[in-house]
Amino acid sequence: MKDTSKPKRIMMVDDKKDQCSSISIALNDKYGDDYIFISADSGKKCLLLLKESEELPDIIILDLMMPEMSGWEVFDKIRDNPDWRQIPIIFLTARTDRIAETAGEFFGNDFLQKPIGIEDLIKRIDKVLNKKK
Amino acid sequence: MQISENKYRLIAENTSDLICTTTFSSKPVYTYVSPSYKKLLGYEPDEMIGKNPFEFMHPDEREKITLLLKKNLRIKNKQSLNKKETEHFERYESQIKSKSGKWYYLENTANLIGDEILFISKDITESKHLEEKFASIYALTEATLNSIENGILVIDNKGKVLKNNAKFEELWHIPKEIIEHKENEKLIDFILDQIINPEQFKTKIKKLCNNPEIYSQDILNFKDGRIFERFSRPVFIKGTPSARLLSFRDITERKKTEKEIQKTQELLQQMNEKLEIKVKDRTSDIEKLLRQKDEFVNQLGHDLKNPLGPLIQLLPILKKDVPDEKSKGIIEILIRNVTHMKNLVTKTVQLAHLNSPSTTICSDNINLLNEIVMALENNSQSLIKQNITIINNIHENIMVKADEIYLIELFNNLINNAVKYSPNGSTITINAIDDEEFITTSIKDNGMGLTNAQISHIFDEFYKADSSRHDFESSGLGLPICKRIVDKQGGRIWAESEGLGKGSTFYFTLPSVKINK
Repeated sequence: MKDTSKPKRIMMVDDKKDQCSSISIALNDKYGDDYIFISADSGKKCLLLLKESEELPDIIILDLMMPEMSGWEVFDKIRDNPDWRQIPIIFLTARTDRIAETAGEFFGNDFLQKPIGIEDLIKRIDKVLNKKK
Repeated sequence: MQISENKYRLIAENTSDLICTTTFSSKPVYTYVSPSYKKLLGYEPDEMIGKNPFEFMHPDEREKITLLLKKNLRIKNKQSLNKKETEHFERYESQIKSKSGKWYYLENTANLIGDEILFISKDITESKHLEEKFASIYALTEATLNSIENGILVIDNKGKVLKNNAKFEELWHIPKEIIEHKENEKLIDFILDQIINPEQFKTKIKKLCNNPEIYSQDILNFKDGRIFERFSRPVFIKGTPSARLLSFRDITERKKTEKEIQKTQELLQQMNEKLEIKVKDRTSDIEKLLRQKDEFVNQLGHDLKNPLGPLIQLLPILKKDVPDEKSKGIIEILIRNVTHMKNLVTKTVQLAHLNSPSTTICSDNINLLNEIVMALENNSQSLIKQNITIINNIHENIMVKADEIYLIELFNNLINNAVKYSPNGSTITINAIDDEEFITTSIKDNGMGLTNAQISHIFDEFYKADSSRHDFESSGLGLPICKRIVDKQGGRIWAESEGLGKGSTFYFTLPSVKINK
């Protein structure tokens, strides 16, 4: 299943910096160079990174509950941009939220409940990426 | 003289009156009896003539009549001696015995003619009996009238008073002289003077007099505050409404009581309304508090999840990286506790979410077997580890109305429980029965079983059947969550067990889907 040729680029958008850092560490510890982890601590930062980056991420993990710009707004902006529209998105939520589940099924590609287990995250990412192929 | 005697004889022979003559002496005898005596009493003339009239008389009356006769006839005798005229004295009544022994009442006059007394008598037996009958009816009526609590007044169709009872006088405070002198006008004035609306009453009585067949009823208000109830009905004599009976009853006390009861009722109703408002307010307060509680738990859960993430993700790396066994052991304990905390937080949030009235639940047509298989896959690791055999008897066609996400959660919890409490190498049996309206699913294990006391509490939040076991596998929230899920989908959940060590069976029902195609 693993695409050995090229590491996968994962962008995680979450205002909780520790979340991002720990996922980054865990990911690196478990899978080494298979994944490149990019983190954005706000919606704005995410959009900025997308705009500036030479290479777009393969997948975005998007937290729905963020101050200033919510995950939903970020999602809309990404989907409105023809260059970014194809990037699969996995929603991240701490709430037992029916809307997030449904939205994950219909608009994004999946959704994940916090707290995230690292194996679970990778499983979901692989599933979404394989489906895309 | 001859002619006149014949005339009298003819009269005596043909009249229905009883005519007789007796001698006027201390021992009188009949000298003549008219034929009407035989008709009435049955005696032949010669059965009486020559006999003493006292023999036919009532023994109680003999003395009285003797005295009467003696007194009167002596006076008459003197008068007649002077005037030479026959004069009869006052009428008197007596009783006479017939041949058959029956007593007849007679009304008599006696005249002294020469040396004889002429008696002319009339049979008044019938009227006498009627009189007695009437007297007894009268007495009865009087007694009745005077023993009832209503004031009774009987008037004729012109408004003239015919009769009243003592209660009437008492109720209307009528002075004795008005009654005794039968002063109709005064009585009416006296009555009218006492009531608040006399004209109205007058008109009513007039109307009643003009319509003698009417039955009526109304209320009279007195100037002194009393209240009377009046009934009126015609008195029929031989089918004709010939008089009118007015009946008065003092209902002042009753009215007062009625008013008081009404007042009390109104007061009660007001209190009731106030209470209802209070209860409503309290209920809405409680509902608000409950919502706040759910919201709080939800928020707290959410806020707890975020800091748990790094712990869960980073502790395993740390455990792997530390070289010494002691540190590894410590980190192992930390991981176990963090995992348990994660479970608790997740389930608590889930329960709060299910408690919230705003949580909606889908009602899709779900294949029961698919969901079971998925839940079994989720638990496959522990099933293999404990070498548990699953006997799944669910038919592939069974469909239920449910929310898929919650249904999986329900199965996960129940299977997880069954596995957790089952000994190694045992069997778990899954069945589903379709009873038209509902599908009853059962999950039976051979585990530690439950007592009746435990069965009644296992669906309570944070209840653990074995309180001594603080195992990290169990949050104490799994079954309450199951109950909420089943409740929300219109089903029922319960547990059965034959006792400790004898295994348990968990049942739940879900609405069945009828395939009508």
